Amino acid sequence: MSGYPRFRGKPIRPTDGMLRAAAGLFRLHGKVGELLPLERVLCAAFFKEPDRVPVAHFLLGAARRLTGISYREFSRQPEAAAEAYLAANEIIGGDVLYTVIDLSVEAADFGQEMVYPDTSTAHPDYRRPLIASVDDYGRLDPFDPRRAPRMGMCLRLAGILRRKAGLRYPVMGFIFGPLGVLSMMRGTQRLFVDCLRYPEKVKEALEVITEVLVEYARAFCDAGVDSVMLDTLFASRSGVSRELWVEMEGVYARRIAEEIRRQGVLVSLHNCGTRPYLDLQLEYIRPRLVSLADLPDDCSSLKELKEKYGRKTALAGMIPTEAFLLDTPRGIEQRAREQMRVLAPGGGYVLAPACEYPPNGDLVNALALVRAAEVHGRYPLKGG
Amino acid sequence: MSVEEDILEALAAAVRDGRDEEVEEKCLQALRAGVEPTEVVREGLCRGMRNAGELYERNEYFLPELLLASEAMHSGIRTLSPFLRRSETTAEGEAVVLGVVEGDVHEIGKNLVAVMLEAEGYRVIDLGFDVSPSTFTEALERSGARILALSTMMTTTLPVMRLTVELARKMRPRPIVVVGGAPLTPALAKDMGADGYGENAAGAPALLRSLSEGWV
Repeated sequence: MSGYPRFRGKPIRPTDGMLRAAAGLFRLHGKVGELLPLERVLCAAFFKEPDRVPVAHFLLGAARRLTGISYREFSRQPEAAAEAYLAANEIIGGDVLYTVIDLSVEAADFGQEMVYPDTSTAHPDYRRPLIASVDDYGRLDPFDPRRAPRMGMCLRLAGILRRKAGLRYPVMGFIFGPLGVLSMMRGTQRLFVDCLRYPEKVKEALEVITEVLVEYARAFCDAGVDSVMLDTLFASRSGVSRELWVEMEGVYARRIAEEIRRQGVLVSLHNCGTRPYLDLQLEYIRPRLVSLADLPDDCSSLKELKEKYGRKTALAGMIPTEAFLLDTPRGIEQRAREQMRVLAPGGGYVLAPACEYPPNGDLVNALALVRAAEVHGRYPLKGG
Repeated sequence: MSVEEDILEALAAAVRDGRDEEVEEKCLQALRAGVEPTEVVREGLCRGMRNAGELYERNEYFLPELLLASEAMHSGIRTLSPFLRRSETTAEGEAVVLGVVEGDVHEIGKNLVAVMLEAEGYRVIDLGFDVSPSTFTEALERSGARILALSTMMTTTLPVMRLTVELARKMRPRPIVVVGGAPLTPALAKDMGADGYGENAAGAPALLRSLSEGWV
């Protein structure tokens, strides 16, 4: 099947209860046979043990190297990006298809000037921020993301992946959080200071951005994705204080998450900051799956993370990205085994890097990550 | 506590709390009370910034608060600059060439390192972001600085950081090279040939002090 059946252009989706029941059936099936990636990830998301631990290798920019396209093509051509993502899962393995291009997609469509390097990630032209002064916060206008160049591209990418992969792989939409989008138009340093000095001005912009992102989330759901991942980077010690995050992003991100749930789609979350505020993000966003780079600010070990949050949300991430540059395949395999031993029992776990796989890193370590799940991540886990 | 000490303490508190206008006012008040401009910098502005760094280390401050304090410190330096002799503002401390490596535009961490070093009396030659390896080495040669501090937040720019470190290590006299940024670890810094790894901005002055001791 090339995606969910549709009625009046909208995908007809199973309810949360139906997904939960299906995950239970997949768990039984996984005991005797090989599951499809979508089935495997669904099991994990509903705290069931699938046939093996699912893997999300987070090969984004690195995927383009498998089909020989430049970063510029990857950043601007949905067909080329889709081909790269599909090649990543076919060649390397992996259980998730992404629609992430870079963190400037939304900001570019608000009018932020961009730089598109050939061998590195596209980014804003920081010398020419769209919001050059405090007064510019009030000058953002809402628009339809379906008709916008870069967000429209990601929506087309989601549609292509859904059509080409059918219901084999879960397709994940991706939205940078409102405060993150604003940082791309103002510069993080200026934005942080403005949050303290001119909070009401900043909120004017956040209102408009949230309005657009809610519509963007709806459009991803219409494109047939299985989940939409929100990135709330600044909810961490490397961002702003807990109180400031709630005021400046939590309340806005909640509106986006509610819209995703209203569309019957699973909410996921990514936070690659240090010591993230997981409790707050669960409260405001209620994600089904969370991908982290570091332990939350209230946990001191993976074991504590599993005990405290392992039944509240499925967990992913935390294999350090630099390890994929420095470590050997054996080393990656060992790290993966250690993490699976603690986090995988009982389901609710996806093996993944802390953040994007290093775009220019050796892909042999991505193969090692996938292999670790295939060889050592079979349920029931040995020594789990 | 004397009147002068009261003013300097209030100035340090204003810097710590990021109150620009009060910082400017207290700077002028300190000068009127007869405090030497260099002492206003050292005991008011720099002390306030150090206090902000300590609060950050204790998880009581976050990046926005630290940035606010750094802006307040700079507004104080602008207020005092007409009263400081050029030699007092630019040639007092040890020089450090600082920048974000080529291909990377993330500079918050680097900016905070700059202000923490300035607060400790270092003379920072900030080359900004997206800086080529040759620009770094030229700046070292031109300034005679013996410390090079490099930052990056991306994995894609680690190779150019490595190249910059290698070029710097070939210079004679060889500078002290320290690196920092999200994708770096002490092991990676060592592997690149750096002499030190800075985990965060607040710890940068102590790192440089420890490396400088005994460096020939």
